[in-house]
Amino acid sequence: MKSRSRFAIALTLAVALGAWLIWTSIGGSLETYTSPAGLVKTSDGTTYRLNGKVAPGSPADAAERAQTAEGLRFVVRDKERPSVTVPVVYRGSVPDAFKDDREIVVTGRMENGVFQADRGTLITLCPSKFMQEQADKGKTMPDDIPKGSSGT
Amino acid sequence: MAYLIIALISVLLVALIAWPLLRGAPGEQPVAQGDDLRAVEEELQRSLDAIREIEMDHRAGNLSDEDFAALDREERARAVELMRRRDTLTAGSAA
Amino acid sequence: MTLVGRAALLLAFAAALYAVGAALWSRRKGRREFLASAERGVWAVFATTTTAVVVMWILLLSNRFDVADVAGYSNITLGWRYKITALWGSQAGSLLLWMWFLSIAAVLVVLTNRKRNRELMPVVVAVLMGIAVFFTSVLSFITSPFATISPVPADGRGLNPLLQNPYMESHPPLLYIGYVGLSIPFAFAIAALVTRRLDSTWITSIRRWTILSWMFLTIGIILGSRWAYEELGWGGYWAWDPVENAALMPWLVATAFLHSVMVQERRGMLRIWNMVLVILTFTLALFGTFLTRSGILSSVHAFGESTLGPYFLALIIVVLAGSFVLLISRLSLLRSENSLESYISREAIFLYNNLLLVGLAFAVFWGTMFPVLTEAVQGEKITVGQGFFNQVAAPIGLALLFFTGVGPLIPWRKASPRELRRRFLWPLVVAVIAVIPAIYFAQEGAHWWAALAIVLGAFTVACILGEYWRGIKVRHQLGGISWPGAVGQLFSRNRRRYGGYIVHLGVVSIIVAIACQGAFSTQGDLALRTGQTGEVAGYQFTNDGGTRTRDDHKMSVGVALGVSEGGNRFATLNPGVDVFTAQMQRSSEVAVDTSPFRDVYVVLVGLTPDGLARISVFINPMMMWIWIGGLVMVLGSIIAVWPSRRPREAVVPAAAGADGRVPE
Repeated sequence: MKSRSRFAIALTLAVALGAWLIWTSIGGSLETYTSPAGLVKTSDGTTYRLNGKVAPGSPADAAERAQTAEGLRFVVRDKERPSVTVPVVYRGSVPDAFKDDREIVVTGRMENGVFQADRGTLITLCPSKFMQEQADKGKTMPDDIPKGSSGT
Repeated sequence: MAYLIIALISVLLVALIAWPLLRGAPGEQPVAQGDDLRAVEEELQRSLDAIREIEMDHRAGNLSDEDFAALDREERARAVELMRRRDTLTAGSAA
Repeated sequence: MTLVGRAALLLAFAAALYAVGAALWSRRKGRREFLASAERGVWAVFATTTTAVVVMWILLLSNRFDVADVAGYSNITLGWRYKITALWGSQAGSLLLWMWFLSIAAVLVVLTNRKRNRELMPVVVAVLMGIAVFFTSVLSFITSPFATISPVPADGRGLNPLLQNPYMESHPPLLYIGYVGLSIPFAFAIAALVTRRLDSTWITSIRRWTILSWMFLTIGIILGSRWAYEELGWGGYWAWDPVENAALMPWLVATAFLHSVMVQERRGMLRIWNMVLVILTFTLALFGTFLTRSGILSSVHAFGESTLGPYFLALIIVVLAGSFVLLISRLSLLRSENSLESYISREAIFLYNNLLLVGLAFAVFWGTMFPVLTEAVQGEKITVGQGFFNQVAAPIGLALLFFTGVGPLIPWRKASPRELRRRFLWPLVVAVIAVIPAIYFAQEGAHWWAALAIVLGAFTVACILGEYWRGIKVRHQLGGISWPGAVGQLFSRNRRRYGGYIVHLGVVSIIVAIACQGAFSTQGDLALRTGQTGEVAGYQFTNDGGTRTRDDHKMSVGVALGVSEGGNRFATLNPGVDVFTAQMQRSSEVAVDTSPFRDVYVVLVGLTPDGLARISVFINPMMMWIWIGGLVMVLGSIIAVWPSRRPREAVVPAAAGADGRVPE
């Protein structure tokens, strides 16, 4: 019986240690997921993961610009409210799929109305199909393929 | 054409599935007993493997003499018990 | 044709439904013939699903663009190989593939159990066919691969160029084989619970299945990383993306199960725990499919949000709730035969390893689902960055590495300290020697955990090699067998143990390589005109001139880069960018120079008309050892599952019966 209770204590300790590890690690890496519409109000030091679409007019040589000292400048617009936009400055590698109207996620902070992105954090939500694109262009969609809520 | 193929396949499938039912109860033996015997035999085999492994570990120097003696005694007792159970089962099915 | 496909799936659905009913009915007295009928139902499901898959392939190969999935994932110019693989490009198609593998697995189970497990089989068949009912109904009523569109497009939209490579051809099917394979241990576990036959029979029946599924999952994950490394062009191979985590979680829990099951076989302990692990593994496999298909989390691989989420969630809840209610109702039958005697024993080490693996799986789950949870609780989606995963995984990975080395050297039940000291002398000597290069690296400003990984890796390899050495030596001395003969005997007599050690060597290789890559990789950007030379991390890169070509469906630019170190030019790399005109989709062709100690990984970012090439350079140390480690793991698993011809000559029992010192 004694060994059993000792075992229980050891197990509890192990679980507590694990929980502590998770807790301390999670604290340092929180990023609030947000859209341009959610970002407008704030300019504090919180790290955000900005999700939206690349507004038309992004540079064609985006990848090259992102390597220069000035960085790649482009505008992200809200998925639901296209009129709300945020300018972004970004340096680092640019995914192949980056172009106008593509949905992206980028991590960074707001500074003076400009979203200063962390280096190398730009991700495109690259569809394994070209469905999304098709929907945006307003072509006919196969009606049994679910369009999803973010499509239009 | 397509309908014909589909109809044909359906009929074939139904025939395939229903066949054992039409033929009536097949000669399936008292199943549980066969399973029991197999379970015991597999466990026995594993026990024998364990004995061999303990022996090898001892000779390889992985186990001290005392540890070996204790482990070996216990595992052999288990094997004998399993053999006894196997014998009871085979005797039962033979009778 | 599409009609035949749809009908085949409907028939599969009907047959699966019937098989569930007939199998359960056969458990009643005097209804045994229904089991035979249900097993034929399994065959029928296999036949009809195969028909559906073949029909889909015919449609893809014959460019039938009136079918939505053909129009969406194929086009006229696509090569036939990619037309075949376009099957799993679409959502419905990938579910069809899942279902097909399930039907194959179910047929194999029926075949291999014709004369065994007759009492378990009704429930096994019912569970497997129950899963089949779910998938065939989804394929028939919710998202059919045979749906048609009008107007019929003249050409399809083609397969995403990112998916047009050998890794993506093989990665999804391999992962699916792993997922599907894990449903068989689950089916047997449920059958054991339902029939109350909770001896070790079910465990023996699924041993191979589990190792094989685990192996396929391993290959799938490694090929996926390899794909990310070679195709995505960001210099890394793993980003803790939800889709990657979805494959990792079942893998971690399955790994835990593979180890703890040995404790049950040998000592009759951890019986409840093993049940929990089997149930969790299968649920996580379903959850993985759910994550990639539901669009609940945004991922690099976002497959388009779909309506399937709720159905999968419902299935997962039913599976979890049902299994655990069943498990609780059988708890009294699952008492442990033995108890833990010492904290330093093989079984204790297995327990620690289990806690670590499941703990890591839990942390990954927590991190992956965090945005969903916070959104539900706070209304604000908060994600955790990669930092979280790395911080949790590093210490757990190192602890696992340590136990990988220690475990095999510690005997079952208990270990005497004197023996331990003797056993660990040499590994410790090796570890101390390994501290020297580790200190050297640490001075270069590296992370402590990378240094620790090197030391622990050396220690673990020494432990494993010591095990081989002792095993071979004793066999050589014992029967006067030649050295190679002793090696052969070692493996053939105890495949799982010594094959497992090979897997461990692969794991060590991967963990050390990951640690080195994480700590010592360097990255630099260069902008070079033709003839110019730039330097990153001691390597010089010379722009030898760019090229531009265009053909029917793509424009390509490339640049020839001479790579040298200390004036010695050792490679010419040709990174490039293709732009596919049909979709205006860019696709980087990275160029890598591989050597045992480092990869020089170059991405062409852009090439201006006047010849200015912008390139990103990554120097990734030890990368090769990740892939080699993966190969070694697969090799080890194959050795572990290879059927052995057992010498039935029972030397030991005679002794046991005769020498009289046996019973207590």
